[in-house]
Amino acid sequence: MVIDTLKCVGCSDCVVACQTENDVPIGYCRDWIVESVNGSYPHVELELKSERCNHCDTAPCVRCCPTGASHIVDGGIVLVTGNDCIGCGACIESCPYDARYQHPDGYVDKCTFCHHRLKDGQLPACVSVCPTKCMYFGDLDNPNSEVSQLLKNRKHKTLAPEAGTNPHVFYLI
Amino acid sequence: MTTSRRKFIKISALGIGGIAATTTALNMFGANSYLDELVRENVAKNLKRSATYCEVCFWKCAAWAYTTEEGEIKKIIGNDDDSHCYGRLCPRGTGGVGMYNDEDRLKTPLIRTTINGEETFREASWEEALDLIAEKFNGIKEKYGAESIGLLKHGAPGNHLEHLYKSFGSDTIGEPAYAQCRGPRETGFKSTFGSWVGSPEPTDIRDTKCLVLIGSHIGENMHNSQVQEMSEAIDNGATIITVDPRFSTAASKSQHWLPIKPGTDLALLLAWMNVLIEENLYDKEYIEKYAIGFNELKEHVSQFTPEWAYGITTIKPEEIRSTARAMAYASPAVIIHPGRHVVWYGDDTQRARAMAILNALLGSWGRRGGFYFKESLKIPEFPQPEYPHPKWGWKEIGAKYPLAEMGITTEIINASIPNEENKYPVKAWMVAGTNLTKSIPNKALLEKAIDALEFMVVLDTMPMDVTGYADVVLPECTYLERYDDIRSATNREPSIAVRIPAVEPKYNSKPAWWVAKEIGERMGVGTYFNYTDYKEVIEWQLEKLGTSLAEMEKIGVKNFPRKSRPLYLSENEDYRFPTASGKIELFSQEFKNLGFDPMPVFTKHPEPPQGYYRLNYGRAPMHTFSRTVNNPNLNDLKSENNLWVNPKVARILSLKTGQEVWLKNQDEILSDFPIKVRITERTGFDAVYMVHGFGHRNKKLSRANGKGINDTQLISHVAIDPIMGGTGMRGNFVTILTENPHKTI
Repeated sequence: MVIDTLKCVGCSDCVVACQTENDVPIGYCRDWIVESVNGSYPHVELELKSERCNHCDTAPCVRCCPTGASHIVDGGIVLVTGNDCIGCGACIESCPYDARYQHPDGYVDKCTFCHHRLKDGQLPACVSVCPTKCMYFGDLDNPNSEVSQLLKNRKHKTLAPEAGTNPHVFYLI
Repeated sequence: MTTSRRKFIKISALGIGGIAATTTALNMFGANSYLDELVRENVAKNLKRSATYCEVCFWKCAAWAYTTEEGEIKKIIGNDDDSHCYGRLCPRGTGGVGMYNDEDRLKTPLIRTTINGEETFREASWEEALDLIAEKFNGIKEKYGAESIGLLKHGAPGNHLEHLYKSFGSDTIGEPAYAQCRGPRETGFKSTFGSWVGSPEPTDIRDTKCLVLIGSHIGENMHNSQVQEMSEAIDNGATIITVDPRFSTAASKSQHWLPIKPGTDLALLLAWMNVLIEENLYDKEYIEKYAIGFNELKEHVSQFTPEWAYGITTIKPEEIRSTARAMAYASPAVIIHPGRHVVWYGDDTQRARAMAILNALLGSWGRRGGFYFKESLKIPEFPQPEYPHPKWGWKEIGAKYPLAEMGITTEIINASIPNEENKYPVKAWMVAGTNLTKSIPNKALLEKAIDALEFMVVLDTMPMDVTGYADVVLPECTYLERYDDIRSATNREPSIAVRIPAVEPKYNSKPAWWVAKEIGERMGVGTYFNYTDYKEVIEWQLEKLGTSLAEMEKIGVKNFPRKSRPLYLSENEDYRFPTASGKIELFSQEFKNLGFDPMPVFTKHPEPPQGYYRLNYGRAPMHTFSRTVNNPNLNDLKSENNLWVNPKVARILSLKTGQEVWLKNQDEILSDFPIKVRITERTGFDAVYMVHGFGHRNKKLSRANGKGINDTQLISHVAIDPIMGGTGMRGNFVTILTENPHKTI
């Protein structure tokens, strides 16, 4: 996933769309908006971006899960098997992005990149609703895909690279 | 751990043709019981979709509401075919589900009563409530005339009630959307180009090379297609220039942010005109062919140099020059955006006119990347008798503002306060879809008027603060539960959309068309409501438009080809502007005849006294006015507003982020509730900022009650626009109190 911070207005449509698509209970979220302000008035910079699970290659949550509920499926998506989760919360602690929460039903929940929609040929709910079209989703292994091209041509960053997690969510800056 | 993503994309690529989730596909992802669950729950779920258009704000984006077999609304998604919203909703549209689900909704009619000397509401049947309204309205009609029954409204329910009012002979109708919002820009642009800007604004943002925003915060106001097109403009490398004392979201996307001193925009606009003319950068051919009054304008602005404006606006002369040149470079693909909520300082029509004149100098009206010629489809009128002709109405009530073209809500409020000299006394109100305590400034005046009314009805979906003043409260069902008028959108291409109920009305709520019809029949004007279900009206209209309800149920939206004229002016086209002269009027003879400045002039506005800060207010993208604050989905995103304070100001006042403070304005008005401080570099030293619409007082709004401050409560100083009656609200100043002023010792 690639998110263009130059276009994001921080409206939170991605957050509501995720909640209604994935039955995320009110008071919880799988994605959220971060606003960072730099400089001092009137020399100010503002960055708005939508954050979520980074679906890391080197995922600490998967490594520390005692039951194997947290796992990586083909395609690189990190998922949690609700039935296998004992709610110990180790993964929540281990995630440098604070991307996981304990569902009121006991298991740990987080962004799935709308795995169920992908299989249906649909984009993740957040990407499909974004009014600024600042979110892109596709195959990073394919050099011709839109996401690969964006990363090739535009300046970008990942979050907390020092954590060594090799995230799969990239931010154009 | 490295895993390949190749398999994954193959499947999603395959899926674009619309393949169903098959077992093979599932296996490719590996066995996953949780995923299976999800698939069962979501993908395989048999969701029914119904066509609708959104009513969470006024933009009216076409959408699909998805419901389960049990009749639960799961999600609302934009209609891909809609040329008005490009298939995408904003957060409020997506969160429209919460409007339906909100358990605090008005559930049944309520009638004011007195129990043990205390005024309260009791539940009533529709029969009783409607009988009472008809009886009271008929009584007032007999005693004072139908004209004395006023309607203050907003949105779709307002249209049905307007029909009711016109049927029984009242034109005493106003909506805050005019004199409390966009009225001045309509008059300002009309006096220049001959036509209103209208909604949505015919700004060709997607093709523009330069977008100039004067205090307009696109991105925080989620005017859907405008936001989408601004994003496209960013992709296309357009220059964005934002003039705003606050570092708005739009300012953060701009190449040029001009942090202007509040109240001085007109000086900047005049200086820009000066540069364009002095440096010969204006569109000479366009002005020569289409405009009159250029010589007068040239002479008028010759004194308003960037150096002159610097002292007033604090914007450096070289910045004024370089931004003017950037506009000229992009001309005619440049937009000086007319803005939307433009009632600021009382000279707002003149500021809007200055923006219109600047657009004219840049040749942007009727040009690609500037303003296009909009077009909409006229919806055929359902057969009905001719309306009676009231003796007076909104026009007479607002007569002292000669260029007002719609009812001025504040003047209708004034006319409701008993005064022997008033020839147009208003005695009863119906308030529909507008929460007056948050849309109308000067609460003391509003309460005085309400006190004097003989009867007041409020129709809403939610127990908004204004319902607390009513004699009868009527629960309207939400847009997801009713048929409504056909939406005819005004855009590059005309389009229509329908609203079909996704579910039955919840609780004992009813659609506004039904309420209007029932009251009409009880008042003896049933002939104007010649249908049993509004569906019949839509069916009749759709057939006339060459489609049918059955077709529209399937497609939701229908786009029509343009018929009026090309989108832009062609080269050397002999176009007659719809002004009196047929030309763009840089000098307005009409204004001069009426005693107003024929060309905009800068006037100084009051500044905050020592220890006070200008109260600046705006929008958050997830809320519409005050109406969405209790919506469970949207409240979850933002449940209260904050007071933005510059760090230097915070240091002087020893404020901390998150600290609760109260506000007192220049007229000693105290905020009901505290607000949490947010220390941020995004606001300057002489103003504080908050998002409008919070600080609800009705305890029945369980999530919104007591959260944050209602900015409107602190707006007691109103600067009225003498041209069209707009109520300038940006001239109020507040001081910050760290101790609770309401605490009794």
